[in-house]
Amino acid sequence: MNLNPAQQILVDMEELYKATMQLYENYFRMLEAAIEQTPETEEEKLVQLNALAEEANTALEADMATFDKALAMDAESLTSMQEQLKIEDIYKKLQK
Amino acid sequence: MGVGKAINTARESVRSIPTSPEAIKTGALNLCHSAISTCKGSGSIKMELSNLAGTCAMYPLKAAASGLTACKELVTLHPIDATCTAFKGAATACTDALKIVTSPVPIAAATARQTLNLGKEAFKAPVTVPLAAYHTIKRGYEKTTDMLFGADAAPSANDNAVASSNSAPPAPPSGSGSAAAA
Repeated sequence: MNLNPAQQILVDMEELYKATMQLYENYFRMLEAAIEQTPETEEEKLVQLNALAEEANTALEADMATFDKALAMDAESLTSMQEQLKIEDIYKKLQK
Repeated sequence: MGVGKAINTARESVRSIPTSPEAIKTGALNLCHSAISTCKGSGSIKMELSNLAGTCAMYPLKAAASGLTACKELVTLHPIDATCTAFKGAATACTDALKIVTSPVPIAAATARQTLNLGKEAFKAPVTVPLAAYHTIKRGYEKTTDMLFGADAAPSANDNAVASSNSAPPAPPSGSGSAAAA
């Protein structure tokens, strides 16, 4: 399938998004297992693992916001483009 | 005494109650479960990307390409293939670490350490996309694996119980492990 440059960017971004989410999921599963295996007597270690989970959760929220922002900006530009094109069509029809 | 002051005093009293280890553990596990759900259930962005790609096909090439500057910023700072490969390599490193932590059969400490050090290598790829994932998780991976398995303890062929490594000395500052792993 031949993609135009804009489509290629979006396909690449989808790939990046999937890889990012997979990375987060695997990391959180690793942290989850580490927390489960740590006995409650090792409070210091639990506190450190909790801090790592909180830090990763903050990073996850920030990254999702980055993807959302990029999408919102592009959706907006494509919508306005569509409106412009319609106006252009009407203008051409009127000229005829 | 005003109501505001009373509320503040009560709030301070609650804050001063030490959190129990059980509560910390439960809270941390809940946080992980919630984050995993977010990662798995966030397909709407993926769907929107696919829809936008379809929409782009309907517009004149030049116009559609010029409207995608925000996406371009994300994917063209570094070759996308290299970035995705780095992210996938890092994800595999986390999976390998997970297997070591949860293995029902004790894994030789030397073998475990070798696998974890290979994981640290996976985090060395240059990634320049403006996402926090790679660098945050890189630090976390190093800290966690050092915490669980010890950073510089000499590998021993007879030390075959993962549980025994839980008593390893505290990890050194983050970052020291990855450089040493080379």
